[in-house]
Amino acid sequence: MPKRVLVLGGGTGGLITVKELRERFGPGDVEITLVDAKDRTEFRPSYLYVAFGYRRPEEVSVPLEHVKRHGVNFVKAKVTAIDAANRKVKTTAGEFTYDVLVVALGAETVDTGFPHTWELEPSLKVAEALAQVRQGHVVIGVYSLPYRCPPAPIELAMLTHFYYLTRGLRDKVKITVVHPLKRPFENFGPMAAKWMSGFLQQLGIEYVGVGQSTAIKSLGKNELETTTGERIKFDAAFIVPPHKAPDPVLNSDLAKNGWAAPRNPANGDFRSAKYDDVYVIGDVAAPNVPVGMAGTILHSYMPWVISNIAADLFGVYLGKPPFRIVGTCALDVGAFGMAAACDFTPFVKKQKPYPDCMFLPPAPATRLFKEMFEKVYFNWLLGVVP
Amino acid sequence: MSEVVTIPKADYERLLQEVQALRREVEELSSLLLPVKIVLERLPHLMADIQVFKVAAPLISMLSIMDSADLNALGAAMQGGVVCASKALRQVAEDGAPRVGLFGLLSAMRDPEVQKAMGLMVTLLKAMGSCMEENLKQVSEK
Repeated sequence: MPKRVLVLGGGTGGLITVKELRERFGPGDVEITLVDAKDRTEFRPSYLYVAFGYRRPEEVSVPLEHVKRHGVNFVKAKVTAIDAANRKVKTTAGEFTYDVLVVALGAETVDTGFPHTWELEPSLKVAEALAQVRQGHVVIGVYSLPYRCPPAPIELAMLTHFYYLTRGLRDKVKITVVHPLKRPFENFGPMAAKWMSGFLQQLGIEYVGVGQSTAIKSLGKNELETTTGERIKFDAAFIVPPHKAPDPVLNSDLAKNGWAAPRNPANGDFRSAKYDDVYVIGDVAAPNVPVGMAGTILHSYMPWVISNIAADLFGVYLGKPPFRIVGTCALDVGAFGMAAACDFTPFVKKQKPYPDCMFLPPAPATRLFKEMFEKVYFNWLLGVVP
Repeated sequence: MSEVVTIPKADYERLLQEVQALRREVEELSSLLLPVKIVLERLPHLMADIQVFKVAAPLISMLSIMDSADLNALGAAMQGGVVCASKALRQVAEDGAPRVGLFGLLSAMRDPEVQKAMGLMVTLLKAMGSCMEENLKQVSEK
């Protein structure tokens, strides 16, 4: 009788899990079921391009049904409860049991009513808001830490800068980033903070670093107040909403400090702190690793997770690469791409106060790389390109 | 109801042979391209690999660095460097180089050619010093 692997979440973590496991084990060995509340999976970094009209929503997502081609069951259902002690998961499509459970439910956002590029629907409202402001003040505000893709608010500010530059309105529009971190990119080390401060200054983008994990105290129609009491008026605001772990995780005994707790991420062990047969991966566990929420970081440690699951199921050893938690990405800084990479390993192992990061000078070719990865992503995980 | 098409047996056999030949070609091509397919399948892993990133970094950086380069001056310097170094090396190869002590060095300093070379080096160092310091400050952690 095949072993049962239940994967919750059809984002990067869930899809890498089902793909890598199915490549190693056939349906006779492992029955894999993927559960997601939505019927499509999206390439979230491209929400920025949707916001600026460079991509249509259907170009940055594909149906999750495609996993069926690889012999993986797909169930469209909302997870309502995780009972790890009894190996049960309740969903709107019924109850599931498992031999191994992978929780990759990601992070949820709490709606503030303002447009932003952290979900698809609010991304579609960004262009409309920008079109209405031909002069005045545009604010990109980050409500609180943590949030998905730490560099993305700066990317949004730079694309806003580029948008007004090409419209010939840049001198009429002030752009401000309001952020919990005192200096931009401070979480990537002092060199990154200094370099990014200079870059923003060069582009004429103001940065208000609040220095508190929650930056925004209140949001009005045309004014926000920071937690340090500064009032900032605006004509349009894009607010990165607060993020939280999904309720089934929060209400289970998998959570610690508001997020799923991996056992020993510094040594590559992403089993739940409490249960041997439950793995917690990706954004839902990132704050407890601690690393930023990003698919690229998850991707770097997935070989260890897959090796451990395979060993749990069949006692086989597939070989592990040296354990490293890294992230590589290409930021869009407005017609240019900027390649960056960070090695978080010494930071996660508490050997260094911040990760080892490197930033390459912006180049148009790097933007092509960013666009290419969007296509490669879907082809890699689902064998289709939208 | 599906439509039935009747064709002469000879045409059918020719068609069959063509399909078989095509299949053989596709199989050969597929075997030939298998290594490329494996690399393409691993592409996402390579794109996310920090070691690959570090190797590719100088090349990616050059796109931007060369954008601000004075290619005429750099080209002339590179050409000059190759031509002048070749000439100097040939001279040493043919005539050898004398031993020079402290007095020989002082004496050489009076040579206009040596003075020219020293002037060039001092001018380059002077211009490079502050410029390099300014650039390196960008990656300082202070």
